[in-house]
Amino acid sequence: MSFSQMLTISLGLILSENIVFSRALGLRAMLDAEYPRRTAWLTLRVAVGIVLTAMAAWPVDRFLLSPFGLEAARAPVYVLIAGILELVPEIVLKKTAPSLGARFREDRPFLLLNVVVLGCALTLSDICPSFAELAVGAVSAALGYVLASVILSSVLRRTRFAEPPASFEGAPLALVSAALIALAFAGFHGLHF
Amino acid sequence: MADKRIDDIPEIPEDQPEAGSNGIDIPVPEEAPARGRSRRGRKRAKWSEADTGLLPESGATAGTVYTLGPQNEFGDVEDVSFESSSEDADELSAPKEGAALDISDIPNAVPTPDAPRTAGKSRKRKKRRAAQPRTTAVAPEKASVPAAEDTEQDSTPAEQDAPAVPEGLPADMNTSENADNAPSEASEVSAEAADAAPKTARSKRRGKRRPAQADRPDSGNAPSEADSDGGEAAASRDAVSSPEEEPSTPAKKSKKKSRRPAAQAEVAVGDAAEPADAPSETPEKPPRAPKPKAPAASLLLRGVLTENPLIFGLVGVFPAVAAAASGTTALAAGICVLAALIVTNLAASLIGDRLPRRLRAALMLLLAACVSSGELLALEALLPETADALGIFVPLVAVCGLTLARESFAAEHHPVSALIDAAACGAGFATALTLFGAIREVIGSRTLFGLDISVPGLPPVLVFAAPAGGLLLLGLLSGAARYVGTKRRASKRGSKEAEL
Repeated sequence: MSFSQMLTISLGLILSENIVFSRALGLRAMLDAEYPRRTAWLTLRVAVGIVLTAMAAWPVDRFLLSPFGLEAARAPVYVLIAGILELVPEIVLKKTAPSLGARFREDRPFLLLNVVVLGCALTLSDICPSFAELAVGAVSAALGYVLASVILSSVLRRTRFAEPPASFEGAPLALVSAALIALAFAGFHGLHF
Repeated sequence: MADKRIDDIPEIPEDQPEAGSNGIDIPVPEEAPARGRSRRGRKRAKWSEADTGLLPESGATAGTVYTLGPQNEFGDVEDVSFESSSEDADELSAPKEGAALDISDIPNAVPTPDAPRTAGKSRKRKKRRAAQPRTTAVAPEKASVPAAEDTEQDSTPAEQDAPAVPEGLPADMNTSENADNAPSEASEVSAEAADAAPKTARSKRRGKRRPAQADRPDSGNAPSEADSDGGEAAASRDAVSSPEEEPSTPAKKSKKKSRRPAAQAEVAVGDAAEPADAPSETPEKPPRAPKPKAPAASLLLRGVLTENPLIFGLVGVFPAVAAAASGTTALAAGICVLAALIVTNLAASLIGDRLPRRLRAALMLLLAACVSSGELLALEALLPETADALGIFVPLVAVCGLTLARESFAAEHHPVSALIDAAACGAGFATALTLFGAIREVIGSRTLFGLDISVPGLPPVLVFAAPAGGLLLLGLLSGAARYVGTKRRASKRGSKEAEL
C-alpha cells in the first residue's frame, strides 16, 4: 500500500466520508451530550472500540465467512465480537482498577447499542481488501469520530447561549447544527490525491 | 385434662404477688425490652427484684438474683422448660399457696423429648410437653398477661376445650398451656410426635418470637400479619401494665398464640386442623407476579402518533438520514425495523427478568442482528435493487436504537402488550420513515417512489438527497412537530380553563 493510498483512505474517512456526518452513525448519542468530560470519555471508548472491532472482525470475515458465502451473517458475528471486546477490558479493569471497571460497566449498554462500531466494521470489511488498509481505515474512522464529536460538542455548547424558539430547543436545534456541519464536511468531497 | 390443670390453679388475692399454678413465683420485670431476640443469645436471665418491682414473697430479700433460664442479651427469657426436669415435676405442678419455690433450684432444661414421664397430676401435661418440649418460651413482658377466656373461640378443637383461666395467672403458664393446648390431642394421637418435636423446636421458638418482635415501636406500620401481631403485642403491653383492665384484648392474643403452636404441631405431627401459618425455615421464593397488560388503543396511539419514535423520540436518526434517501428504501428499512422490533420485543417479554438487564440487552441486540441477516437474504431475493441501495444499512437498521429502546418496556409487560407495542412503534416508525423518505425524494430528486413528478422550472434541491439535507429536514420536522404538540396542549388547557 502506497503512501498516497493510505492518505486517501485516511483523509477520506476523517473528512469527506466522515462516519458521523456522511452516514449519521453515532450521531444520536452526540445530540444529548451535555457534559464535556463524560462525552470525551465515551468518545474515546467508542474510538477504541471501532479500531479493535474492525481489526478483530476482519480475519473472521476473511477466513470464516467470505470463503463459505456467509456474508449475510456478518452482523451477528460482528455483534458477538464487539460484545466480547467490550467485556475483556471490563474484566481486566475490574481486577486492576475497580472504580474504572465500574465506569466501564456503566457505559456498556450505551456502547452495545451504538451502531457506529458495527457500522465501521461492516463498512471497512467491504472497502478494505488487506489488513494494512483496514488498520489505517479503522484508525482514520476513529479519528473522524473523535473529530466530529469535538466539533459537534463545541457547537452545541455555543447553542446553549442562543435563544431559539421553545419547540426547537434541544435535539431539533442540535440536528440543524449537525446538518450545517455535515454540509461543511461535504465540501471535502472534491479532494483528490 | 386441661380442666384438671386449671382446677389446680389457686385463686390469687389481689394484694398478693402473682403465683403460678405450680406455686412458683415468677419474677416479672415491668418493662422488659422486647426487641431484638436473637437466636444465639443464651445467657442466664438475671434480674433482681429491684428490676422486677416484685416483693420478695418467697422470703428472698431485695436484690436476690433469680435465675430463670436462657436469656438473650435484651433480657427476654427464651426458654424455660420446667417439665424436662422429671424430679421436680410433681413438685412444680403441685400448687403451694404462700410457699414459693426457690427458682434458682429449677434447672434450666434443655429440650428433652425423651424425658421420663412422672406420675401425678402433671402426668398428662408431661405427655403433652414431651410432644412439644420447647413451647414454653416466655417473654418477661408477657409474664402477667391474663389468660384467655376466649380461647373457646379458637378453631382448634383442643383449644376449644381450653377453659377459662383466672386473671393474674403467670404468663409463662398461660402461654405454655395455651401453646400446649393445640398439640395436646395430636400428641395423644401419635407418640411419634415426641421424636419429631425437637426437630421443629427451632421453628416453634421462632413462632413464639414473632409477636415479641412485633413489639418494636416501629412495627406498628407493618402490614398484614405483622400488623396484627403488633396490635396483639401492644395489647400484651397494656396487659402487663394493667392485667385486669381489659380481659378481652389479651384473650385475642392468647388465641393467636395458641394458633401458632397448633400450626407448628401440624408440621411435627401432621394431624392438626389449623392451616399452616407458621413461619417456615427456608424463605420461599415469592411467585412471579403476572406482567401487566397495557391498553392496546393507547399503545397504538402512542406508538404511531403521539410519541412517534422518529419524530418525537428522535430514535433512529441513522436510518432516517442514511437509508431514507428515497421512499422505496425508506419503506424497506421501515419494514426491516418493524420485523426486528416485533421479534426482539416478543423475546424480551418472554425472557423478562430471568436475565440481568445488561445481558438481556446484549441478547436482544444479537437477536436483532440475526433477524437482520434473514432480512438481508429476503431483500436480496425479492428486491435486489433495494438491497443494493441499502447495502450494509440493512443490518444496521435492524440494530438501530429503536430495538433496544422498546426492550425495557417489553420486558416489564405481558407478551401481548409487548407485541402490540412493537407493532405500534414499528408501524409508526416505518410510516414516519416512509413519509420522511418520500419528502426527501420529492424535494431532492423530484420523484415519488420512482415516479417522475418533476415540475418544469423547479429544479430539485440536491442537498435534501444528501445526508446533510436529511439531518436538516429531520431537525425541522421534529421542531415543527413539537410546536404543533405544544400548541395543541395549550389549546386544550385553554378550553378546560374556559369551561371552568
